[in-house]
Amino acid sequence: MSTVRKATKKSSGLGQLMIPLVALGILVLFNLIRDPSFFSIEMATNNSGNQVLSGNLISIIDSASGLAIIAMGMTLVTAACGGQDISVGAVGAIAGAFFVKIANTDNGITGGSAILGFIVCVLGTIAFMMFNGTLVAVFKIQPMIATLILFSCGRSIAYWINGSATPQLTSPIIDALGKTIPGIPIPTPIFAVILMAILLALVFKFTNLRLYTQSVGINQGAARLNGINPTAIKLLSFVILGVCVAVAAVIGVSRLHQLNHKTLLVDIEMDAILAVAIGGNNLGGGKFRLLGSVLGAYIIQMLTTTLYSMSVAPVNVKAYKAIVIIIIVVAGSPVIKNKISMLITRIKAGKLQASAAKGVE
Amino acid sequence: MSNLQTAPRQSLWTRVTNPKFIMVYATIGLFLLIYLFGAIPYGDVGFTTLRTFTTLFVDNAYYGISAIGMTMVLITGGIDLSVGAVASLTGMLIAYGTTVMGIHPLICMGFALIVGVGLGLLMGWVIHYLNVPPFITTLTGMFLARGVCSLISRESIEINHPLIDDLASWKIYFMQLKDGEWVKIKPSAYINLNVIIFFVMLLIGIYLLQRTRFGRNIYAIGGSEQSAKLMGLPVGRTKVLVYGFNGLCSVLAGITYALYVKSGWNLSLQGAELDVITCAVIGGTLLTGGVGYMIGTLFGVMLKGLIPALITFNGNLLSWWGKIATGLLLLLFICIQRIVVKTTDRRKGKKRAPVKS
Repeated sequence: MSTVRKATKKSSGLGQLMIPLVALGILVLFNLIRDPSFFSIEMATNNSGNQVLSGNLISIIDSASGLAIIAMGMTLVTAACGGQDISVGAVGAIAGAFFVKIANTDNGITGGSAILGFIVCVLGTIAFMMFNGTLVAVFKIQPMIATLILFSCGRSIAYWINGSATPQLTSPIIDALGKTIPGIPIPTPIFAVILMAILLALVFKFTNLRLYTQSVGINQGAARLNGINPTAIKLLSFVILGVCVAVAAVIGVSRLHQLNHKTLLVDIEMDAILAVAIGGNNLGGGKFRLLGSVLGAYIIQMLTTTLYSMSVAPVNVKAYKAIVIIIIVVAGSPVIKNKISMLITRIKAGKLQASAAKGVE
Repeated sequence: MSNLQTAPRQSLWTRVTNPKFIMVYATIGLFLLIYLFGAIPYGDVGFTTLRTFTTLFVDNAYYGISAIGMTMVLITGGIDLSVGAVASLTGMLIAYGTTVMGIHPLICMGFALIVGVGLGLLMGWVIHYLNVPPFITTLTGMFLARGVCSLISRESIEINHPLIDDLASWKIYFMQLKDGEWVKIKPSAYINLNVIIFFVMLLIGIYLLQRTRFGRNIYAIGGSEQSAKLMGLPVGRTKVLVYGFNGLCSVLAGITYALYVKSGWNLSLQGAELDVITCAVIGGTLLTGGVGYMIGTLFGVMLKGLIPALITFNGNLLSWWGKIATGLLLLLFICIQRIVVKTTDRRKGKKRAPVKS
């Protein structure tokens, strides 16, 4: 087993991360040249009187948190099922509705109700994701179509759960979840990303989930013949995505101090899929690197923030974003990759010939 | 084209009962069922009138036009998420061109046509020759079109031009003979230019898919792209053209939408792409490619329009019930599709079994 795992690790090594790393590097370099103060981080006092770190870099990492967490789950689903879940935004709205419904008691939000709310939120989200998962894994429906159902009616369900209201939440607990905990200068969502990453890393470290997921994604039939249950693996990937969506939804609700079922995590499905693609993961399933997807999420957020700081209007960002993303995706496409590797081998061969010619002389 | 018809002509009955049409029949059956379901309680308040029926088309013509192109793309096994954005861009180009720059709307429409079809062809080229997944390519296409749309203007622009007004208000009323005189039937029912464009595009779509080599290639690519390539079919050209055709449909959808609302707005038709895909899927098109009929898409569009109509007639239900109902409908159809695919597979297996032994 260990040799097999080594082999998979080796083959999905740094090569896959080349493109996101290069893209990130170019973005950083561009910002450095444009405005060196872009990366300055300073201590500032926020509205509630706490000392917090502030600066573009912090805001990028902070606001990409939800995207990064969902991108992790999306990577697993993509790897196992060879398709994407487009309902994450809508299910996120349901998750937010669950959380607010339970946490927002008559006495406001208490620690106990917040924890209970979070647990219910996770369980409820897992239930909805299991619906998607069952359609995909058991009924073998294409992921995009199966999740189209919840995509189209998820926000309406969220509306229904919460009784057509957009409740405002004011509580120190919500502040702590969405912004910063008093005394800790780093925004809480960043910790959530780190926590999720460590959790998934531990799961991969101590179980065979990574190997199993990849083998199901690469060849389902072969995986089954080797004693892996593809249905269970696919369902599990959806369960993990459900947890990710629940966490991201709670962050989203806490950050805005309100639940708006129409705008909570809106359009995040597209960004999450893009993050997975930019991270060099095959959208057809199989091998994956979680790190790539997380990098992809930060690239998307960094691009957005860069454009904002260049005073591009929020609605115009999409046009520029599209151009950059298409460049990244095309650069990562197999055709271009082959051409580049051919070019490199040709240059190497040329050098060899040259040195050989010198030797002859 | 004559070589397409060398297969012996089957009798009408065997052709109609071909199991490949099951999905289409399911859609038509469900449409009739829901129509009946609405007709019994709301028949006396005008649900069964011709007016309600034609309104289905008048209100959903732009979805229908877009769904025609989408059906073709889906049959090749691809997907196009840019349709809503391209339609929105078309509306914006017409609105900005006529109202702000004072250009004749026909020129604006022509320009929009070039932009839309060009973008479609470009996306098709990227998908096939650069091997980028359709989902990602068209998603960036969507971002691009939406972004350009916002670059032009971020405010809703009204379209004020006599030609647009004429085109938008042009209607054909249904007439009936009463006392030797032609009068409008009551309540008045009409179809407008949008509906005519929809049906013309539908006929073109049916012709392209069923009667041309191009259509056969589309089905072949959807069945198995590898096999199609090995058979020497022009896979690349067909795929690029299909996305180009879808671009054309998106632009026409945008023009009809502009005629319908008489304005351009950068945020209009958001999420329309998935509604359009829903129409095609309800109509029996398989997302894995290779299966789908334009007639099914027609009924898919009608079915999708029927639900809001029912909710309007009920009057007590909130509009979000429509979304939930559409979701349930989609679920139902996906399950039917699954069962159909499974049973036909099994039937094929049974036929093959004796040959093996």
